[in-house]
Amino acid sequence: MEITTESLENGIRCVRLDGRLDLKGTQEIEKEFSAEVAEKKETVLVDMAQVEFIASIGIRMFLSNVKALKSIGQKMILFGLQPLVEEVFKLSGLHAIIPIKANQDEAEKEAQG
Amino acid sequence: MESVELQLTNNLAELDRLNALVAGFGERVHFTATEEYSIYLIIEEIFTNIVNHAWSEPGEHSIFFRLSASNETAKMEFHDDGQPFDPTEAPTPDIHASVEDRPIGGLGLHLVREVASEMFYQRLEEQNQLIVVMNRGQQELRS
Repeated sequence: MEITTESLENGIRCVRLDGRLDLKGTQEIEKEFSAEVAEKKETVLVDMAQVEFIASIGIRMFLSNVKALKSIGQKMILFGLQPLVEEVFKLSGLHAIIPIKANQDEAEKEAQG
Repeated sequence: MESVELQLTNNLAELDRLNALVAGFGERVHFTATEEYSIYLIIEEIFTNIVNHAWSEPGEHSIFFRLSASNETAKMEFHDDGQPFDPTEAPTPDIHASVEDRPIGGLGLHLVREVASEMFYQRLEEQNQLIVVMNRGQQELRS
């Protein structure tokens, strides 16, 4: 599981994930993910295009980080989800809590709007 | 009906062997990407639950797993000698609660119940025996 980050314009941070968010993959990146997300006071976009699998452990990682962001008045926006990964977000009820956009352009618009 | 089985220990690292088993078996019985996703998901959630919650004392235990498939269904069986636990009766989390009220846990079994078409549990000879059935040929994970 790999994680890379970059700063976009307008105080937006983009985190790109690559691999499987199963137990093993989530444990590999969750500390770094939380550090990138919760300790920086910026809106966070998460590029999910290269994530081919997510289980409940991965969903929990997003849920706990969204809670942390919300407590400091910031938001997280996901984009580029593969269909089965997006379905797990829906079955978990997280699509009602985290905005999910088709691509980076739409996610940036959502972040600024 | 073709099948494969594994005798595992109560160690989360065993998920590697389980995943390798599914990948190999999936080639033999031609699982679609959706079917394979559902099976990986069910196995990870159920196996993790057993390892984390079935025994209150530390110590090595064995867990039996069998995966079988026909053209219509795939069936996963889990046997463990932990404390009695019926996943078909476990409470469902409120997945519609707001972000502040959402519990962090409880999701795994919820996902399994969404994806599985049928689940059977019995306590037999001091063992939990769980069977999870998934219908094949679906375009979505949800049954």
